[in-house]
Amino acid sequence: MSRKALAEKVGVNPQTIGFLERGDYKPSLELALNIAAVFKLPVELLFSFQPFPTVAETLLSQGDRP
Amino acid sequence: MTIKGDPIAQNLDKVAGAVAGAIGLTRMQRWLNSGRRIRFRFLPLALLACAVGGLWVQIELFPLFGYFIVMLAWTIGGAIQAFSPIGPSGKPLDEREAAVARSGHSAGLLTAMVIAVLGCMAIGLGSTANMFGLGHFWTPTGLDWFALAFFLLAVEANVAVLAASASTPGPLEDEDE
Repeated sequence: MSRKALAEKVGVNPQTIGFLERGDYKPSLELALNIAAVFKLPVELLFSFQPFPTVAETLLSQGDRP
Repeated sequence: MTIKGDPIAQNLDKVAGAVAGAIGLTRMQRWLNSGRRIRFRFLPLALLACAVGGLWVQIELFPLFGYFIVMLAWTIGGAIQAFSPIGPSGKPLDEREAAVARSGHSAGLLTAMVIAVLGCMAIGLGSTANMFGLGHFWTPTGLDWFALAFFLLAVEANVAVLAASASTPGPLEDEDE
């Protein structure tokens, strides 16, 4: 989904979505819940106080498992 | 659509299309509607310096000339707001843009208020000292009041643009995605 399409769905400027992706803007609870609803995901999978692990880190940690 | 048959009208149509596409209102309107804004740094600072200088000219040198300098600083400050992060985007502001506009105007109003309070105290002290024969301090008369009003407006407009620009993150590298 493009930045513009997501912005239209949640009713914000595409720039705001870009700033969210970059971590330059902290969304309101309403915007966070709207974005989570668009992706049909729980909000804590999209927003967290802790930085999300990179794909490489995730794959490495999966490789360590027996 | 290009008019067929009349060469003059056809050429004028081409010119109008080229101008509108390159530098004219169409392109500017498209840019304003895109929601992109300029983060001003030096122009509001220069305009603030211009307003202070204008007020000094008003008080010390040529009253009417100083008044026009201060008014110019306010007029240009108001005009650049349209291109700044607090400017109108042609559509309702989203939550981030509204927060930026609110914080910018709050900073501008607070600064203007502090200057107004300190200025009133200074003028009050000056006129009291004049009354008791303790000196000859400047107190505003006639056109000075208009200059002071426009000075406060110039401070609000330019500080608001500065504060909003400072609280807006840098442009995205892949803006059009």
